[in-house]
Amino acid sequence: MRKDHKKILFIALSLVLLFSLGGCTKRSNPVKAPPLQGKIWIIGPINSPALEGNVIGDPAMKGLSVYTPPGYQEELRRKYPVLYLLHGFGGDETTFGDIYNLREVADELIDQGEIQPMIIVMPNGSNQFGGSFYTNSMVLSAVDTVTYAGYYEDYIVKDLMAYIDQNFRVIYNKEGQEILKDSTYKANRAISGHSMGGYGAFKIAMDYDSFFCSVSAMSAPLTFEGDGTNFRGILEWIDGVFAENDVNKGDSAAYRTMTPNAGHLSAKMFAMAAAFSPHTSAPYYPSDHRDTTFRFLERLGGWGVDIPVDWNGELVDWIWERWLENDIQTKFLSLLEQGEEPFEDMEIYFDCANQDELLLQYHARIFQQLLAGSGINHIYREYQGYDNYPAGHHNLIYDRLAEVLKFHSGCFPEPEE
Amino acid sequence: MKLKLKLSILSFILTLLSYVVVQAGGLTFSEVGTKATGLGGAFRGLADDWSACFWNPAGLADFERSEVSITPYVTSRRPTYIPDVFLGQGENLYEVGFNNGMKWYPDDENLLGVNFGAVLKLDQLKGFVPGFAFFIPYDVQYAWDVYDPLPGYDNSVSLPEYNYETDLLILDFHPTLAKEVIPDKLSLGAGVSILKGDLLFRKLSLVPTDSLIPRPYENFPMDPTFEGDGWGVGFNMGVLLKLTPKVKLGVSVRSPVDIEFSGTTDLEVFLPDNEAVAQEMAEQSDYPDSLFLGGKLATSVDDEITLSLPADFGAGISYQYSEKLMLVFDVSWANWSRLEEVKVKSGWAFPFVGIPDSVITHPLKWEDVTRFSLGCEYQPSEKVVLRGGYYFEPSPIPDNSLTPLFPDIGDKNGISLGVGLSLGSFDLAYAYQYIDFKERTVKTLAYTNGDLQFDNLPGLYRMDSHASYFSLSYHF
Repeated sequence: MRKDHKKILFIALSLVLLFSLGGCTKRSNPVKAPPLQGKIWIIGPINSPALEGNVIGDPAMKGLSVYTPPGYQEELRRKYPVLYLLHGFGGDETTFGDIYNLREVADELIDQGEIQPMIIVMPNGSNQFGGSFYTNSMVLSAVDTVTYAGYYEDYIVKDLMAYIDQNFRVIYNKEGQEILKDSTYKANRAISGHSMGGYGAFKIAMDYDSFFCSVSAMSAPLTFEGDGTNFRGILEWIDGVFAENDVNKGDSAAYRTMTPNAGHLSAKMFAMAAAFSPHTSAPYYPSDHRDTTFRFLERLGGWGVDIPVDWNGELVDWIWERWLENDIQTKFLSLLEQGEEPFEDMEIYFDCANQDELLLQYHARIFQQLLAGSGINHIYREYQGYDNYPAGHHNLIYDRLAEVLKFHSGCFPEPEE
Repeated sequence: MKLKLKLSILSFILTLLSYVVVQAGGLTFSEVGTKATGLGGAFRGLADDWSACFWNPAGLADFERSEVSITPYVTSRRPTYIPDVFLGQGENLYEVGFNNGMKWYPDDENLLGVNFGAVLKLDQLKGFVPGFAFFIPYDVQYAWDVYDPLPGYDNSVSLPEYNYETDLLILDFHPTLAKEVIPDKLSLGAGVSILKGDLLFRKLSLVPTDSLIPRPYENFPMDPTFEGDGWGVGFNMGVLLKLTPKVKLGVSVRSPVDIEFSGTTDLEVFLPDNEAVAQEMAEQSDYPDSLFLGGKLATSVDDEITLSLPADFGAGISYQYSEKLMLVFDVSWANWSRLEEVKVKSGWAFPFVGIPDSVITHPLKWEDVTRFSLGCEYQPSEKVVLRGGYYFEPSPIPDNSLTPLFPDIGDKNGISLGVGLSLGSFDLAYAYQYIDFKERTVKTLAYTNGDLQFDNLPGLYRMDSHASYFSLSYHF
């Protein structure tokens, strides 16, 4: 072979071998290390003076779960903002942790840097009716106002928040021994909830807007009355309540046999009645209405609850008015009429599934228009499902919770380095 | 050399090479023949070595000497997949565990393979030229781990290491016969493909349960894995026409082949472990709470998978431009549209919403493709030959069925360089091929056949491939 041909051959072979070696390295996949884990503390019942002495005999000791983020037990000087997360009807303090995987969701978001570490408090807001609606349930006795099913709003705002402030490393300023409910306190607190818990969050936020910087609600009943024309709010449930009890409208005898055990709408209706309209025989209540109300738990000496419709399914106005005193929409409009700003200096987020079984998407849309019309900034998100998995009342909480945590994290001040 | 001695040598070499084939671990999709590879696969109009058995059997008729050849090769295919798999649409997108946004590689291998062939030129055969070739027309080997159950799913039994896995090997044992029917003008040839195939097919499925069940438990991961083997028979035919002393036209066709793989499907469903959800489901629905208490469901069934391999039709031209320079060009068409689907048994009529039948159908619906190849051969001296080639071939796989299981992710641009050295009765050759696959982004989940199983994996796909072929040929 001629010298120049040998040279060509050598160069060609060298280049080709060089190219071929480039493709031969074995690549490594990323290591899928699990995130650092936070912890959910199951706290033994804590005593709430606000719940003592309730007529129905529920214990004043309530269970509590608290999520602390990764590093909480190691970084002993660090303090955290706190989110109060209220469960829905039928749940308890373990619902978010056990069913909706709160710890895994929060750990993942913290690991990815999508939220800042925070403490998440999950109280027990249930009672023997299935849910307290986070309301101060009171009834007028012959001489005084007494707690019927317990003062659950006071439990959250007074007893529980004090317990958390004293026992967990949450951010606040102190003056002597007193924890100051100042701007720092507000800036590092938020409240949220699902369904009944979302209702509770919005109610408490409006009543105590100096305590919270942000509020959110997932699938909450925000308007008892609806829009007054096409949508009747929770009154849309009435036909379902009668059907669950197998009672025909007009049958007053059968009406008085209705129970909360007949189905999920009945359970909610009676629980709301226990929160908003416990029965009273006080003299000033119209005597001609006493027979139209329903008494439940008569073994408690005549105490019971008044549901807001009679045996014809018609509204009983004086009972309905008591419900409206606890209605988010009514409360909101009332504050505006008084010249006050609802949710003052708070960020607002709420969502709903577009195929909510309780029709709460209509509540949300009405309330969203109300906020928009009032010039109050807010975020509303309506969720759709996918293919054979429609967005219902609670099946997408795993994902919606992540968005709620991101929202509140963004409202808290940036953590100090 | 005497016939008996020639046949003895041929038998020995074939026996030796059979042993080599059995021992070779891992095999790759490849071109056939070092020379053809160096020319970009534009070989139908030239077809002047043993690989004519594959490209155009009519080419054997022009052999002046017998030939045996062995071609070991090594291929490195390097695909990359970045998942973007969400259920839902628009603003409502839900993760399902595919580690979106992370760059994933399969278990990379540098795969060794071998082709060999033999052509016998004997006066006693009265113009018939027999040949035998062994090659590997289809070879896919990928194992991916791209899925993990979502945080909180808490499966108590670990999923298998890989969730998307293909191991397809099809060997072609190819006796061929050719004859020059018009001297120095027209040759015909035909061959038989005796195909032996082995298949492992594993594709994770997410079995939807019920809309009552909260996320992340609304889908259970299911791992159906099929392993089996099978045989198939096909044929190819070719014509080689010398249009002028410098120009040849070759036309060849390969028949479609169905291979039925018989084997076993092992099916496992990995259950979540959440006592609270188990209790809630037992209260609210007919779902047994045992489905939410961890562990797995498993079964194994006899199964068959039919793979419909395409027909191939092509034509090529070779042009001896000058004494030193040869130009070649090919165009071919393969009807991959025969590959409609792969069906895997699911063992039982699955008791949840989603898979009502006892078969899981994976739609493929591949598309016919046309390949263009061109090459050149330059002989600077009597003993040295330099080759270069290029080909373009689209991917047959539509977006609706693209997953990491098969490597043909995008339009292919293949570049080859080769060199040959003639040393008396022996020829040495080397070819290097680089294939650049056009990057592809699949944006949408596809539900092609209404069984609530998505049929593709959206995301970004990248791939390139390097291959080196060495050949040693002996002419006698």
